[in-house]
Amino acid sequence: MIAEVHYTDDHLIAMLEGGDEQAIARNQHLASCATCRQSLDEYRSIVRVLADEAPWDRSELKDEPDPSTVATLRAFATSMQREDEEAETYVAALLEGARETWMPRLRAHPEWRTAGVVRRLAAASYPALDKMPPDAVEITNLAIEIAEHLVPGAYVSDTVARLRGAAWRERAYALFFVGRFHESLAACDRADAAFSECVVDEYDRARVAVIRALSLGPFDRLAEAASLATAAIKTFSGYADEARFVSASISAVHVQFKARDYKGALASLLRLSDGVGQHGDESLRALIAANLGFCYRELGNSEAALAQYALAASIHDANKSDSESARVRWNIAGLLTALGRTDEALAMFAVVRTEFDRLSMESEYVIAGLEVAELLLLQNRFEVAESVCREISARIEIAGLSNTSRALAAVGFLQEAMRSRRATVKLVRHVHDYVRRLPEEPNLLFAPPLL
Amino acid sequence: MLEQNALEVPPAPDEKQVKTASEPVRSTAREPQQAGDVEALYNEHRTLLLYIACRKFRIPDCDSENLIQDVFLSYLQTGTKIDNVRAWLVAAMCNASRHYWRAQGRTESLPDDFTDRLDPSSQGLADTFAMQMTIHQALDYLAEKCRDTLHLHYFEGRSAVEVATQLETTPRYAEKLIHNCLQRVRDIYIRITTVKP
Repeated sequence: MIAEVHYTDDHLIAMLEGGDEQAIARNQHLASCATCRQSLDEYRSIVRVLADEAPWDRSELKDEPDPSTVATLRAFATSMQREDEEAETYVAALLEGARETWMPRLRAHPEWRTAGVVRRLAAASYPALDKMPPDAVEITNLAIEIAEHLVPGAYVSDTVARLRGAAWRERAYALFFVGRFHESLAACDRADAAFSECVVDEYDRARVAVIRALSLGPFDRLAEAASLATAAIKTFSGYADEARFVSASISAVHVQFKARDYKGALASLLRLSDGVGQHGDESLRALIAANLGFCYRELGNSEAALAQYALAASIHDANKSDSESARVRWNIAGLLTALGRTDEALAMFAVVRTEFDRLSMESEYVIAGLEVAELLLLQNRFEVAESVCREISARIEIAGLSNTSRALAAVGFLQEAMRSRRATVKLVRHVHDYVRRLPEEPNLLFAPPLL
Repeated sequence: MLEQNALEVPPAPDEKQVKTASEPVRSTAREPQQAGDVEALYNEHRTLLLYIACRKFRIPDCDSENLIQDVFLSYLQTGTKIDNVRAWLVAAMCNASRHYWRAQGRTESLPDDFTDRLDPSSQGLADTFAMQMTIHQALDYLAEKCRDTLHLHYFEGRSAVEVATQLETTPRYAEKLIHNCLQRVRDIYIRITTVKP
């Protein structure tokens, strides 16, 4: 039996003292011997620490816990718990019935204006995004209404500033989710301003930065978005928050999408996917899969794209994230359209639109409807396409979408073109693009293209 | 036909995709902490946080304690599940300490190496500080001569020859001393950090 040979401590220290890192990297024994490598790393870490001022400071640190801090923290936790318990009942009562009734009800109940209610509303807005996005937006509105009227002096430290920041951040996210990007950015400003008053602010502001980066995307402000995403990635890495590290990384991937660097984006996403692994958080896996689907699509690998979209949709289904499932399936419908699998696409659009209808996702319902009209046109089914346009017009009118009259004019023009058999794919896309841009560009005038 | 038209009217940016790739803020909302849990957390992490504030950021003891309180209050209000509490608290303590110096900067001068502290590498920060704290403790167990040798060589950056001059000995012996003392610190470090069964 041959005894295992290792470097002595003297040898290892001499290597470090020599300072030739390239020689260390080339050393064959170190490359193959985990024991020696570990010892060398330990010495390296100790030497690094010894070069710092802190370990040489011989002054005494007060070792005992501070009773007044303990008392403050205990009192805060107890009061927060009590407030949150009370808030549960208040919020259940507040969110009863149609969302139009919520704000008047809040105004009739001043006793509901507590920090606990703000926290509960913020927590309630996320599930609402999955089930009924317009409700989520209104919930964040309620949270802000309360947070902005709380008296800072009634709470310890920077509690009220933190609550306001959180309420504005949730609103920014909800607005981003429903496509109101300008308003989302304005809400990000408010969130940042509130958090900047807090002693510990970088974690919360990094969360705001991710939303801001996402909301900047549609305006092609790529450099800003990339810089925000990169800074947020660094922050979440420091806080060892894997979920948000992934989310910030995804927002950086979006910048790559916008710059059409799909190969780079794919590499980033695959790295994230490996990092999260099979046992990672389900919502993260769905998020990565949906983005991989988009990336593969852009790289022309349709089968891989469909597989990733299907994976994302199945995870969202299992998590009962209805709105996310619908959005992913919308992407599948779009991909099937691009592949010329028109019948399958139409079937998928039918499923998606039913969901958008059920979830009151009006703007998505209308846009997806125009995509259906395009497919029907490709099949020369003018009459059905015309009836889809009519239905879209009716929906726009009922929903009272922003810029209703302008949207109605555009869709009406399309409907008429369908009726007279003069509609073209170019026209459908023109109307589609116009209606999609209207919420963010309310002054945009509809100018029909030359047919 | 579809592709030809696609050239004429570029497809709209895929907003659907943008929206799906959202901040996964859907992480489980954390239940409020019980008073006892908070006290236990404070007792567990206070020494490390105090070390960071006092030693790394050179903040006076009494102000450090206030900052620790602020860090725990922030932690309590974060509202989402935090997997690695120690890493979160350490990063937040660095944030609070930098905030402290920014605020103080209005009325008094900053420490010389303040800029170094503005951007510490965040990766593995908790482990780095925990290690510093343990090495600090290990140095207490060293003989004074050993401690002085390590200080001269690794902190002041003196060569073995300079250490020899300072200690009035030969360079060869000084080199030996440096090696032995470093080994000794590592031995003590391992002994402190080894979890006994």
